[in-house]
Amino acid sequence: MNWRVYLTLLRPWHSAQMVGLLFMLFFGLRMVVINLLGNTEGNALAGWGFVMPVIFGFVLTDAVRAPMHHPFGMFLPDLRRHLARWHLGTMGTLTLLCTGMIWKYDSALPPLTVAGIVAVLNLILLPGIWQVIGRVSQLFVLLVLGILTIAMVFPEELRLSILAHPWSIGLGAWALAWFFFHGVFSCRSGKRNAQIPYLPFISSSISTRKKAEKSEGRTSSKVKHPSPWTTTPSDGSLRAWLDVPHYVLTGKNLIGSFMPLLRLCVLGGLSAILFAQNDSGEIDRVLYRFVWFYQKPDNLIFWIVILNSIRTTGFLQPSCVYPISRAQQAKVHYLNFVIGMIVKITAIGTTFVLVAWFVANRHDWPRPMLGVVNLFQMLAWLFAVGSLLQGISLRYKIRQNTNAQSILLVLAFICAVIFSVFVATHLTFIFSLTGVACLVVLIATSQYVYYAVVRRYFRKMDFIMLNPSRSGSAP
Amino acid sequence: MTSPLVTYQLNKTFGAHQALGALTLEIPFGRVVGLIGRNGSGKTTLLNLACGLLLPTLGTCSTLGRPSGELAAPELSVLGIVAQAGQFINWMTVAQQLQFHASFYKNWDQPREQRLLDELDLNPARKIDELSPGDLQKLGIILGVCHHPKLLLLDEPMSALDPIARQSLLKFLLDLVREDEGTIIISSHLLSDVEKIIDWVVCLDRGELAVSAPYDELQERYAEWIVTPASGSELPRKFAEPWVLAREGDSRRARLQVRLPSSETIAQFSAQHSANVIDSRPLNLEQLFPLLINERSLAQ
Repeated sequence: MNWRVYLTLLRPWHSAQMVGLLFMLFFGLRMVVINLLGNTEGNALAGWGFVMPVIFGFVLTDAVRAPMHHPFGMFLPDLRRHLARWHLGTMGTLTLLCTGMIWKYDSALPPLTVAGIVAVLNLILLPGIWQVIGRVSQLFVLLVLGILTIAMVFPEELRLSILAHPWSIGLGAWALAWFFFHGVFSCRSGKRNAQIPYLPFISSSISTRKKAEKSEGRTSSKVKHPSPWTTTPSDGSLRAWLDVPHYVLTGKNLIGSFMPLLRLCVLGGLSAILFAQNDSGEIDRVLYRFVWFYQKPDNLIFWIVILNSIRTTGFLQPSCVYPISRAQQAKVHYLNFVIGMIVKITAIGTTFVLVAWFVANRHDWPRPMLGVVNLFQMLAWLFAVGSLLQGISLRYKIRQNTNAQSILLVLAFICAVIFSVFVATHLTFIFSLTGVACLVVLIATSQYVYYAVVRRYFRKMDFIMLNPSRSGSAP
Repeated sequence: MTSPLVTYQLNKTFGAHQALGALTLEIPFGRVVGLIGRNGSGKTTLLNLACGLLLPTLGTCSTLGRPSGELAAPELSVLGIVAQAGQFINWMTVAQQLQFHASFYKNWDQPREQRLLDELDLNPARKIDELSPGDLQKLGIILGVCHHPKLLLLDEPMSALDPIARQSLLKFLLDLVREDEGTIIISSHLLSDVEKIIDWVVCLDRGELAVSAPYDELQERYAEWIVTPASGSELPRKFAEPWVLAREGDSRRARLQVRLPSSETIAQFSAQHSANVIDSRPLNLEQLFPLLINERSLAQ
């Protein structure tokens, strides 16, 4: 294996794009964190010691893992040795770069310890164990995001910890880095990590039949099938339309059904860790501020748009071939979008008012209220931004089973952050009569355009995606 | 030269299902082996075991002189594998994928690669995720053969190819045998195509070995007869002789598939049924295959 092949494998242009997008994502996230906690003290450690290594690791890991987990990976002579050698060089260079940058801004930090932390975060996504169950990797990404959030919220505390225990932290970090690297590139792990379900010979008639037999046995007693259609699909009734989201949302496997709950648990756990860093009075203060943070429409938009963008792409999966017409599918898609927005705004609004009341009552603080104007603003901006992102996902056929999902996520973050800055600086305008009129026009226009986009998409799209690995241009 | 693939009492089970049972087999060096059998007979499992993707439940499987689960760089560099699908990094172009593969083999044959690209009409500038199933199969074949493998395992390599590409591939495989003097094991249901190049047949039936023999020997062992009755008589509806394996036709003219008996037995047969064997021709692989399976079933 030579440098040219290795460089091809790293996909320089694609990787540079991803690094840029992720950097913007974390930049946005940091803005939100600062907004939430009022912490404006940042330092080089958070950026170059935590954020950039994870970004580099995330982007380059996928490039290196792909050939190792392909069926042919087992047959290419010395594949792992070659890849290990080249990847070690790349990661070494990046570690030196990040450590050098930290050293430039903060020379008090011990470079070996910092390099160890950088190396771990470079390699943290490499081990294949995160891929054992497809969606576990998402949980892991959330965990990494949590670590990064903590690193960005408490950079000074982390810095002091490193200065207080340089040897123990350094040794631990280097040991962990070695463990990740050796675990991934050793030949023994090669066989263990091979993605057996994707191996070509395995998908022979025997194993297929066996899988079918197994699945038949299971379905009779355990596996719940999606609910059958109870109405004539072509009648166009509201019930028929509502059955479609039901089918999409319940026709998943058991793990899939519980994954949102698990993700919430992880987020909850991370939040608990975050709050546990302070004493009980501080937790309430942070919680109260958190609630105020959500009450501002620009910040709420940030989260709802992301959640909704991900959820509604479920309707674009080619496996969901509904027994209703294309026109009806367009209506279902659009209705799901509108209902989803309204439900989320109401639910989150109610939650934050209740939580704020609870906290405010304990401390005799002012009670925050969810005003009609606020709600209206949220609806307007959410519909506008949400429609824009949904329109992008439709135009570029960004579906759940394409790699472009992560790009959508990043897009959502970036749009929300840019939008937050805009709204924060022009908020007073909205309270005027002209402002309200503008919001009405904004809602009407965005929804008219969005519905037209949805109808056009369903009228012209191919429901079978021939090349799922591509985010795809128009057919 | 040692045998490139040897199995002894090889057994592979998936849960309660036995895919291969006590398979003892020795593939001779330098042969083109046709691996045939019905769906689920264990062909793919045998290939998986041979290349180390699967490990035996019982027994041993030795590939290129080494246990197949322990194949290392020296063996892998002379082992060629053409799988049914899924061998590629989809975002690469054909040229990039070829370059990637070539970088792992010291003896990668660029002229051969170019010749195959031309003969199989594959554009190296195309992206892999834009290729049709047939083109993917062509690419898989090129990746599997350009490093001069001593043992080439082909699992249904022609199933998605059009007739012209199949002819090109068959011609190339024949050239490959002449140039590399290696062993090729080809599993396929397209028996009429495969029989043009094979010289050894391994037939599996329900995970067990039905036949492992040179193809010409099988052709000498079995034959198709055209039989007519002597004047004034009729042919029986059924022949009781155990070596008559199948019968078609009517009382005036019959086509029999037989395991060739001795000349005395043939004379006895003619006398007993007042029949004349007016033509005898060897069976092709498509005709042989059901006979081999049926004969084994009867023997059990």
